[in-house]
Amino acid sequence: MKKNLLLPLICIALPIFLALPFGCTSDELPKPSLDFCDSLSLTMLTYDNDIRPIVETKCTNDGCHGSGSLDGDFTNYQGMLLDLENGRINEEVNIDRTMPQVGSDELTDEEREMLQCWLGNGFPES
Amino acid sequence: MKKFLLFITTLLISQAVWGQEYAFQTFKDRWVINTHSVEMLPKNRMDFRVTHRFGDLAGEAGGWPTFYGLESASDVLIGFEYGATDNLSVGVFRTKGAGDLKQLISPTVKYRLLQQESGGTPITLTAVGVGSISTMQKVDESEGLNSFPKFSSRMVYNLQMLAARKYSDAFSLQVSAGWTHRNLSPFGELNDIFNVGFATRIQVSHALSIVGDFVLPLNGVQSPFDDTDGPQYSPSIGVGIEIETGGHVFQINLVNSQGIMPTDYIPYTKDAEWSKGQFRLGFTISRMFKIR
Repeated sequence: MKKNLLLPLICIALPIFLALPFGCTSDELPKPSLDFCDSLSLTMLTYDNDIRPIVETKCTNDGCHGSGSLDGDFTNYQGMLLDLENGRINEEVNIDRTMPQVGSDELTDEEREMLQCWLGNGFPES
Repeated sequence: MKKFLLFITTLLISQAVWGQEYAFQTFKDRWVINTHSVEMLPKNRMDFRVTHRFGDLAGEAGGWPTFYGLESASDVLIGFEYGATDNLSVGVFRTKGAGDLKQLISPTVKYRLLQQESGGTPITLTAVGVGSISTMQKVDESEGLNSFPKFSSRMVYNLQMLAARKYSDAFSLQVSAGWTHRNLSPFGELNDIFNVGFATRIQVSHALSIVGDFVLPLNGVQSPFDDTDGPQYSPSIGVGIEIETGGHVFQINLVNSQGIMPTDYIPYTKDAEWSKGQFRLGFTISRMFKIR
């Protein structure tokens, strides 16, 4: 094999070169803020009484999470349960805030707080 | 007697000539399943590649309701790689992304430092560098990675050193060591993750091989050696069947990790336990073109 020192140098230097315009940092996200849901009314939230109307107007109405949806059928509690238990709903709605998607009906601050408290209290059904 | 000596001499000379031959196709493809292989593109060849990972085959998120994962896509890769020389390839790949950091564009550089030759160098040694940048939309209110406090927060890097040996036409083995650096990590996680990997190829017939690979993070919450309570991470394990059809390499596999790029599956393989059915069907189609 032809020995050439230049090429190994390129191999090492190119990723570094690619990194340079953006910088190489070592940052860590801060601890996620906690919602204490102090108000008694917020600790008593249930899917049947409080959360279903929010889901029906903000998640299932455009057909995104409607009946038979491959992205998750949220038309009933059982359909949501897997994504509640694996933390996907909490991650996408509360942490990353990528749901509801841009362009759809956004959650009001009050609705978001209700969802956070309900999730924090173990998402009771009734 | 003279004829016999001539025959022996010819045999020895031919052995010596063959002794300089490089190992041919330690792996058929430039990727094993999750990991890169030591195999390189020949000079002036371009490789077009499509890789797909479906949803969970079994378990709570799989089974009949999702037709065993076929109705969802964990990750999809499309990209090109070009052989600048026989020992240097550059490529760029786009993946949907399956971890916390999605929508990745990943330039790659691959360089072969040593090549196995019979009677000479015992192994092939290749280095691969990947730099992924996320094109996710920045969400100011987010408490997740997509808050992107700096532009550099979008970047993840991975460097792998691969060493492989072709023991026979039927059996090759590869070991690797790697380093992944995230410019921004989730709360409580490390920026730098080190890993080891193992891969193999067993030739079954002229066109058919069985391949397998295993990537084991050594530190951080991703590592099974770390007993921190938190999200359940798993090492990446894949097994597959590789079919070479003259110019194409087609692979069908079963793999537990959702992401395809090392900058994705090394830090973010969670909820991926084989025993819980959290593995998926995947396939790769690779087509090589001659540019000049």
